[in-house]
Amino acid sequence: MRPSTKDTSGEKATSGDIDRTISRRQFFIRSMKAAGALAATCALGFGLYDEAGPQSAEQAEDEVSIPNFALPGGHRLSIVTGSDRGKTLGRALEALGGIGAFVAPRDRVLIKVNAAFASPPILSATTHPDLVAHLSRLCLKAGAASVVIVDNPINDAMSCFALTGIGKAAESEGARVVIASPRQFRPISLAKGKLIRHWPFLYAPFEGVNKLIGVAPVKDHHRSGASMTMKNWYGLLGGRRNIFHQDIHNLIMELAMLVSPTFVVLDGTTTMMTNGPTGGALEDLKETNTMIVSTDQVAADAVGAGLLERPLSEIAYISKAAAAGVGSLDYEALRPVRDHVI
Amino acid sequence: MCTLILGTLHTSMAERNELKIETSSQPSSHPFGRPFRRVPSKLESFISLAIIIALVFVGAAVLLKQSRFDPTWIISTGKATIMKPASGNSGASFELKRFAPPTVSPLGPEEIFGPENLSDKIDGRAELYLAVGFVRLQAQRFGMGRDLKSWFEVFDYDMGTALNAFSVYSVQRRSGANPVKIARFSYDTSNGFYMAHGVHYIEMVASEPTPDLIQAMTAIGKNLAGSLPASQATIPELDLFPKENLQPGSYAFTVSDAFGFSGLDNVMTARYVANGHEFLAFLSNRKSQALAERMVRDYVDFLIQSGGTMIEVKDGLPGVKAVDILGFFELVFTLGPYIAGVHEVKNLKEAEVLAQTLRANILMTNDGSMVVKKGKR
Repeated sequence: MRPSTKDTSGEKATSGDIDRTISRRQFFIRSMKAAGALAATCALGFGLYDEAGPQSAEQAEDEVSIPNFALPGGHRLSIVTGSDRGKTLGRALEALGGIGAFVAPRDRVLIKVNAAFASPPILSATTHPDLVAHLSRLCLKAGAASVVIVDNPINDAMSCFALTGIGKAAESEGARVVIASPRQFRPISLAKGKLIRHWPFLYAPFEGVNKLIGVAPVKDHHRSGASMTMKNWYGLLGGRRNIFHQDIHNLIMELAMLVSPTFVVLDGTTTMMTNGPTGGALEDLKETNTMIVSTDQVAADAVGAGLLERPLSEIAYISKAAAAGVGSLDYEALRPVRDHVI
Repeated sequence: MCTLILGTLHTSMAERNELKIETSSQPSSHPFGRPFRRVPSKLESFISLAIIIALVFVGAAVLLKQSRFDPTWIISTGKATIMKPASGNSGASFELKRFAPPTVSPLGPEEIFGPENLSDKIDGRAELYLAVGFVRLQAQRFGMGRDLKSWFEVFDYDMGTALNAFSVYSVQRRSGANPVKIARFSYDTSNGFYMAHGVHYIEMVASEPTPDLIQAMTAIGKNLAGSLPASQATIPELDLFPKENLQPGSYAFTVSDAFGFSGLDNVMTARYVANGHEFLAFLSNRKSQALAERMVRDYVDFLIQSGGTMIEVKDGLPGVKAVDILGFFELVFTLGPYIAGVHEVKNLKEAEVLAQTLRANILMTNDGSMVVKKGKR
């Protein structure tokens, strides 16, 4: 006779004294219960999954968006060759109707430059100060109420704006330089974006602005293949933005979807052909003497790829942005206006 | 986590239910043979409960952390990202301004960066250094005169080993490089000065291409070369390359994917020009003879699969394998732990001569270590 689990004296049996066999029916029942528990747990987990992560109600309310600064009408593009930045910029804008076609009296203009590094102008790692000066002057001459120059540099901001010459150039023409500070950032998300989700964005300079101009040099970039007008918006991000290097092409595509400028200026007067984005040696540069102005940042970058002597297949973000509907890869379809200045 | 909690609960409950059933079940001698159920001990029950409580705490902690996640906090707290120099690194901890001539003065404080924040200084180029053993960057700007027109910046990369420093130096060598006799590996350009010395790779970049700035940068380079440890300044493999037709300053060290072959890493090369043709000699230490022989087999297989065909070489080159591929010749052989050879040469005879001299320069001692055979350069 086997001992029962509870013998007549009320003492509990010790483990190890009991037969461990179960019937097939009990095994089946237990297995089904366990499978059901597992399935229910997985279903619960799936249902509760939140890709964006938890946000407090306060955070969700703080999120900002920026308007579309593009003007109505089709995309336009001009390509002007010459070595004088002031002249080529002026001619390129004239070809598209002049600065007055873009900037009206009392407009508040924001110019996003590339001041990423504390690098001298001759290295072409940053927006050339001559271009900043000319563009600021043109905007103010067109009657703009204000012109603000902005970037969130990689290096120390004060050093960057000083050593690139951008700060002095802007202020000499009556434009104002904004040095980014923490309280100027607000979280932003790209609708249906996978990367730009509740990410710090340099928002404060955008308040009250109704025209946005991007100005960038043509540069090689070790990670993305090139740094031009679409990559220029990277300088509006805050936080530990270098994590996006892991998926840089998609990030640049999302930036181009997020930011719709009035027009962009792509400076290919001196192109950084290698060792980008910092360069360092004059031998990294080539005098390509080309200024590109466009309302289509994809088309502008496609022209820039040619100056870098790179096929578009080597600069994936351009095709991605085109596929996302940001602009046109086939810039010739825009029937660019071409000119040359001496 | 939920699964574990529920699974544990279920098991416990199942056990309890069985026990409950058990108490009202038929006695063990029931003719249909209903089995006895195991009674969990107090210890087992305690452990189960402890696991459940621990899992609940873990879940709560995760939810709490997630609810506070905010990528803006790093910039809003203004935490410094500049690191102090690490102690115990190769090379002394020093300030770059000590090496500056009196004609220049520091512009701002010295900056120091480690692997975690190197991209804060050089952005996307950081990966080039991180992939090759980067330890630390010291950067300092110097100005000449009161305005901000004439200045330069010194970048001193501690790369951990002399070979790593040389690798960066050779791979990033600028066109128009003008060799300067400051260190074995040093050159200047119209606005820069570049040097690999010991574990340090040093770049200096000027705001304008003026003789004064070049002179100041060269002075700093000279002072640094004189101060940095010399014992780590040699790369003995470089002496193995034959000197005839060798292009000055053409040594390079490729850490990965040499000649388009993913298995070939840590390869030293030197460029030669003969009869108007340019080609490379190469050398790589594979750590053991077996590994060297396997690498040769793999590399030759790669060449054959890429459209090459094996060819014979002249007598006097034992163990040398030769492949004719896409109009060029490739010769490769092993000696001890080394593989060596000639890459992309148009003229087979030139390749054989170079391979023979390279082979003769490598001499195995009885204990298997490698020495340079003097007199046969």
